[in-house]
Amino acid sequence: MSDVDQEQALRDLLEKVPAPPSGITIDWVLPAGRRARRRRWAVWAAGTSVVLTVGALAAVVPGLVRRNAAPVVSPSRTPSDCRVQPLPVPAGFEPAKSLTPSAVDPTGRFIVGSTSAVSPRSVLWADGKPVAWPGVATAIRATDVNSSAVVVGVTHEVSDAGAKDVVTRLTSDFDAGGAFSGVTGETLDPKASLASRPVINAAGDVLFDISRGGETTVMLWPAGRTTAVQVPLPAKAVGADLADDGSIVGAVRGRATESVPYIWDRNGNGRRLSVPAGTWSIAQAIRGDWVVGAVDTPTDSVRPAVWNLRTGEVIEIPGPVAQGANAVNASGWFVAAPEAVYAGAKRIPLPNTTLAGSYTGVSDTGLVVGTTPDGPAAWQC
Amino acid sequence: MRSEQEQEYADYVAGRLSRLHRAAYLLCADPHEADDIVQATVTSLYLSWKRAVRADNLDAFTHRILVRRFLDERRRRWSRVLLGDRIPDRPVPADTGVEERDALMAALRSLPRGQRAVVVLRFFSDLSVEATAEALDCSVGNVKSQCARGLAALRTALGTSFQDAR
Repeated sequence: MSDVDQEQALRDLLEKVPAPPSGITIDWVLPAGRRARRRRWAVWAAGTSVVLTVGALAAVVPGLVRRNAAPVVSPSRTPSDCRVQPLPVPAGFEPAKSLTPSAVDPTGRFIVGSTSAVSPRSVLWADGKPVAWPGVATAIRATDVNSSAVVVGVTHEVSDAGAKDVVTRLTSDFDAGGAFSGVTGETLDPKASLASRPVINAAGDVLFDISRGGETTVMLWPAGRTTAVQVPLPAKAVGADLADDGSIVGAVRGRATESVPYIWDRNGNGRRLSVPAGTWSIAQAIRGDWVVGAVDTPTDSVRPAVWNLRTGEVIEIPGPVAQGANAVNASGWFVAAPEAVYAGAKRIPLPNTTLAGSYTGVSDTGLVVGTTPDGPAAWQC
Repeated sequence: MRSEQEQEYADYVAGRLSRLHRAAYLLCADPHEADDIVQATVTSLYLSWKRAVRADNLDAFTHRILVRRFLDERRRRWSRVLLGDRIPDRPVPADTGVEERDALMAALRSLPRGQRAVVVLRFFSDLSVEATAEALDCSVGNVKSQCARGLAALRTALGTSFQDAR
């Protein structure tokens, strides 16, 4: 084949790829553009107004600016004196920097992580030490762990019949000697794909989303059961985290990036969480009175947000953070991937070996887990 | 924006919406993310329409926004937010008898993101080498070399189905 023929062959192949139906129609395009223009003006006008008003008041009332800048939502305590410790990397998992902690349980005793390879393998650390798992257990992408060392993750099985994802729950009886005690799997429909990171609560219940034909379904896999059941949530709902009392946080998505944060009980009774004006948002993690997530701002960047369920307050955290917040502890400290830890609106600098780290979880005991340029690590605050 | 300019914009977008969505899907392989990319692209295009219509090549201008949205990971938004960046792409099975189009999507996903963007702009969106370079803010020589590498990688990954496409 000549170069020209090869190029034409590729054009022909690309034309044959059927794309799924788009959620965007021309009827939507013009109103969305007008809204964006109004938001741009509103942001500009609001910014100008705040600068002028605060500037004028500050000129006559010294100290006013600093007091007004205090966070609306305050955590019950603040991290201090954080110390970093590398997490030991078991033999066969080198290089260390390919191993990333995924989550820490609320007690800080158990941490899971997995390698970033295409065929990932996972590690469980118990009390800071890696646990020896049989091969079947390491061949998963571990995504969460609870305070009883029950791990949830995803296995990708490839066979002659095709490839399929299996949401996998691993139990290990640490108080009886640390033995690995079992694995159970919830195999997804081959036409479905996993649409969220599986999470687990204290009871061992697992929550995950599946996507099939463009529709998302929120699934709950109760502890001790062999199969997952669909949670009766509204159409276009996504579930991101599961609290110990069974509450589910997530969002109801609209067209394209439209998304409204929600909290539901497991019967599907829900309430909408407030959002900063002019933004779309998603709730991603819950612990106690605190919910954290992401806000899609008018300036087109995603930032962390934190809600206090007791007061109903929400704050959007300023700053260039890429993906919002994805883990929170009972004191309201949260981590915002990839590289910041917060207590309320206050950014907490953590000591590190060389460059800035990347943080993925925080326990109620103040243990932050993540990576340094050298590999997996934990910061005790 | 004046009403005639809005009409001009609406006519332009209406004629290209489907292709823009397909291009976004070929780039990211995720229908929700493709919607996100297209939404951000056409909204941004609306906001900069006066400048866009003065551009030498309006399609290159539009695709420049589209590719930026794809390459800029900050804007991968909710699908990425939910799955987290800790979960790697689903592994591509080496030989599972998948259909040709699935094999092509898998092969596309195996290309580096920049190279994938060059391939999609050149061979799906039919942008010239010069317009592709303008859209990607790189040199013509870079587009040519990325095209050649991308084509070779796809030819290797697809094997006979590539030959049979003609």
